[in-house]
Amino acid sequence: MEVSAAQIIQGLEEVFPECRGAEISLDSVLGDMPEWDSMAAVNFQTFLLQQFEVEVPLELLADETSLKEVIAFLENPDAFMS
Amino acid sequence: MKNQIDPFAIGDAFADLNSAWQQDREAFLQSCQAFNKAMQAAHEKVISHLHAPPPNEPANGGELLVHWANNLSWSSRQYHQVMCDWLTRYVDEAPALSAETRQKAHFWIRQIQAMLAPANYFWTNPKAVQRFVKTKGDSLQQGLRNWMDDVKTHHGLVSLADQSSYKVGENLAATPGKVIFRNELMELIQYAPQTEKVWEVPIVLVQPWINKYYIFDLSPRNSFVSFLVRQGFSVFITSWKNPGQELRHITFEDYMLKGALQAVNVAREVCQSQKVHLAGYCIGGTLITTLMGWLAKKGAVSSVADATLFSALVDFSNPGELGAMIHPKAIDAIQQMVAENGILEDHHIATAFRLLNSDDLIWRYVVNNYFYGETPPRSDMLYWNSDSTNLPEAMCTFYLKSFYLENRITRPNALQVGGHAINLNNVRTPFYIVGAAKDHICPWQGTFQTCHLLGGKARYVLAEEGHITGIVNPPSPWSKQKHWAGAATRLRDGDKWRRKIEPNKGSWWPDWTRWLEVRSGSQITPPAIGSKTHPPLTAAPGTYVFE
Repeated sequence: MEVSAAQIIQGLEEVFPECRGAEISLDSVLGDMPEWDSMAAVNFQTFLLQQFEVEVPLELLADETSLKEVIAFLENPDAFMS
Repeated sequence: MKNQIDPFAIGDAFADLNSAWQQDREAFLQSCQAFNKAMQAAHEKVISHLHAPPPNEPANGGELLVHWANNLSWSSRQYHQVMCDWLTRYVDEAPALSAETRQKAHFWIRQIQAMLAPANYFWTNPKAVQRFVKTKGDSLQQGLRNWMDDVKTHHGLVSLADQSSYKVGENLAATPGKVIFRNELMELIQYAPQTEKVWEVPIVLVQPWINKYYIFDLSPRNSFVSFLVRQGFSVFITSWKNPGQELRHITFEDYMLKGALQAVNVAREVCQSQKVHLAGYCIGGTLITTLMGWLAKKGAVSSVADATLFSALVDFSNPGELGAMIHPKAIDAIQQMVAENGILEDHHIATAFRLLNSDDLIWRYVVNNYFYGETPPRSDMLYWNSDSTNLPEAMCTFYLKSFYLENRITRPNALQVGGHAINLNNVRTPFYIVGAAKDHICPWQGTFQTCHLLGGKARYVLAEEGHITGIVNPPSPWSKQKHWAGAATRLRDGDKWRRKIEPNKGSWWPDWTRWLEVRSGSQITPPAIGSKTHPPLTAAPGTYVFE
């Protein structure tokens, strides 16, 4: 599955309306998002599941996880595991 | 009814805030001028934005609506941002305000800021308008149906999770086991062994009774009990009855003696073990710490090898954001309410907890369910979050007063429970204490205070996540999380302790099982499920979980 950065950024804007207009790049980490906390992670996880039908483990959605890593997991969860 | 107009004393907090500013009128005027200036700048930005030609000319009425919703949304966000920044500074910079009042004012101001976010209103949420146009109004019609369902079935609380996706006993709380004991207050579940040998000393998990027990047995991948069983432990867990008015007399002492202590005794009898590993989550942790104090007084601590607390406060001097709602007036109002009903109803408790994180637990779902007309998402954790329980009158008032208001257990012999005065200094049993760095309910620095209250050794573990995700924290090859773990006997300063410790990557669960193993005796053939005295009554998850 090919996942575009735009799709992820759109999702982030949906989960965190406050980050609209902020500069978000592939190197941005989740901990930088306004109001990022563990329930925000649960909400972002459910967004990713609905949008891409991949359950990203909550353990991966940590403060230091970059958007690049989220995309890498969505594109190929198996490769990520190894 | 008195105290019901403003039971949380929000007016008092704001009155104190305003009085504080009156002490420095010049600073107040400067603050107002800064607000006016920022508002003016935002206004100029908005005017210039509205005059700019749209990138694409709207082709029809629908596109025009969306275009205007985008403009409205953009504009209102500029004003909202100025208001949020100013209100936050208004609280932060108020002169001579007590830390407690400042925290309360911050909490309630955050509620206002979250409520007024433009995304929470139809015309200032372009996606809502876009969907409305695209579906020819169906999205809003479905949203109205969703809202009416919530009013009818959830006391007006917005649904957090798709209720049709989960069934307790099938894809949640599905680890095999049996209920081997039941009384008016709890069912005790014993899980079936999954290894050829098990450790001699079983684990007894005492769950909070504010939600259902199965937070430790969500879907198989993140089931804590399943993990423990696979590590070769015999595991028992309490599933509390959801009390109705008939149980209004149930006290905190009952939860301790007819609940936690009974669970310990049944597990010992079934496993033929002198001792158990006793563990409690949240209020369950407060309960077992009190029980340890009570057992120490009775000279009967030998039934517990060690105790573990998961995100549990014992010292309530810093109760986190819940503190904003804890006030003598609030306790009076709750007392009046429970005196009428005999219980504190589940939806009141759910509302209080949702307010701690209203962006993620209220507003996001208001928009999703009502404006977008969507079904709430599939999430085991959010499904569990919505499955709250009532609290009985006697227990509720005692707990709020003795723990939250008076913080009695931190003072030797100031708390009387079960006919004994509790002195935690007399507790010599080793403790393993877990806190979570982003916990809004039990701040980790508060949970750290337990280390110095106890008379024995303490190991403290700080997980990186929140009240739930910090504890339901399964080991995983892709984990990006970390935790800090180390000795913390008699220490008070959690930040200092943390600075001296290198973080470990991944889940803290293996650290806990290693800690338990050295206290678990030898490995033995698994005991049977139940015993002659306590035969299996029904399959897990039992019956109380459905109430």
